[in-house]
Amino acid sequence: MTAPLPAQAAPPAARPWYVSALLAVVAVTLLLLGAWGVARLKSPHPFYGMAYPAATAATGFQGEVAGGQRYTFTPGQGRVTALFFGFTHCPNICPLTLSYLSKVRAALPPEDQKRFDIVLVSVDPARDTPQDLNDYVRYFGAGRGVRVPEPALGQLARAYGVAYQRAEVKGAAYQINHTTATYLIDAQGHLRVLWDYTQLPQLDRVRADVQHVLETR
Amino acid sequence: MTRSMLLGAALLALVACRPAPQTAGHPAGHTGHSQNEAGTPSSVLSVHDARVVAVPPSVGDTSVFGTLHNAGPAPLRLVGVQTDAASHGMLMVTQTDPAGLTGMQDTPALTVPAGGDLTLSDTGDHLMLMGLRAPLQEGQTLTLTLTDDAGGTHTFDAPVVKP
Ligand SMILES: [Cu+2]
Repeated sequence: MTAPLPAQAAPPAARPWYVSALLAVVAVTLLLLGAWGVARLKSPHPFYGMAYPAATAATGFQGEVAGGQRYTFTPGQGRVTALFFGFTHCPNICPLTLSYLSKVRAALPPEDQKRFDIVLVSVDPARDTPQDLNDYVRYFGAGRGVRVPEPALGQLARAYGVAYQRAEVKGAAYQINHTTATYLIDAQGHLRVLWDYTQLPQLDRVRADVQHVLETR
Repeated sequence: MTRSMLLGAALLALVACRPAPQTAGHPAGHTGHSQNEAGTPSSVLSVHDARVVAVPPSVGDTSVFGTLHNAGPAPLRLVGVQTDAASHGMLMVTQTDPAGLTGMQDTPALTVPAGGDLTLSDTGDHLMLMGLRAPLQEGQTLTLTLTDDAGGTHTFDAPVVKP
């Protein structure tokens, strides 16, 4: 009584075979599209930078910014942050990092720009005043320069895998040799990707990473 | 990676500053910026895409980037740079140590290979101007003079640009 009906027993007039075939094709297509969509949302976007393992918490910090104000960085809170470490007596890598990141920001849609911050933490707190940092960051782009005094700076640097070291230069003021990565922190406060300095000139690919992180909540 | 990017940048710089046809018979690769002390077009050295990094008034030193081309048959060893705009100039190399720390160090000489280029960039060799005498203005042009180890001088102009 529940034996499957022979194929030819299907109501002949109700639905021609080709409509069934078409519906089947549509159903399969929708299924594939849905699976692709889910996979796209779930699977890692092929990051241009180096991706972090899922749910790597970013470390917050406190410091001073221009105007004698205290600044607290709490990762996440709905905002996406590009964080890097540098110093204002750095005449090549640090200004260019700011310049590249500012160009990436300017290439985002306006509503995304409002959720994307650029933050420079000085690795030269002995020389960089909050005002110097502010002037420097504003000059080369848009963002915030923060002075974190020692020993908090050392702890913060360790948390991000940042290294810095004073270097004497004959005939000039000292320099700080430092690692040059930029860290992207998502709206949930997770570290998502880092770019090596040499990757930053590829503005479109950096922007695609930022856009992906802005879109995946 | 870095090397191929530098090479790319060098090629771009070369393409970008292929001299506009000016005087007939002007040798390719010479932009006419290079002069000897007497101010006449001279040396084997030409400078392409030269630029001084604009810095805010709070910063007293800056970098110079560009491409140096040596049209001569022998390597050209540069031992100094100077400009009226700064108390002194320095030749620099950028180095990254095994721990990943990047920084610059002064070097006694930068060599432009015979018939080849030396790219001056943020990630490699470059010139530094220390102790700027006045805040730089974007769009301003500085005149710089390189000295080689035989005492020859090579003068060129470089605009001040934001990176
Ligand atoms: Cu730097």
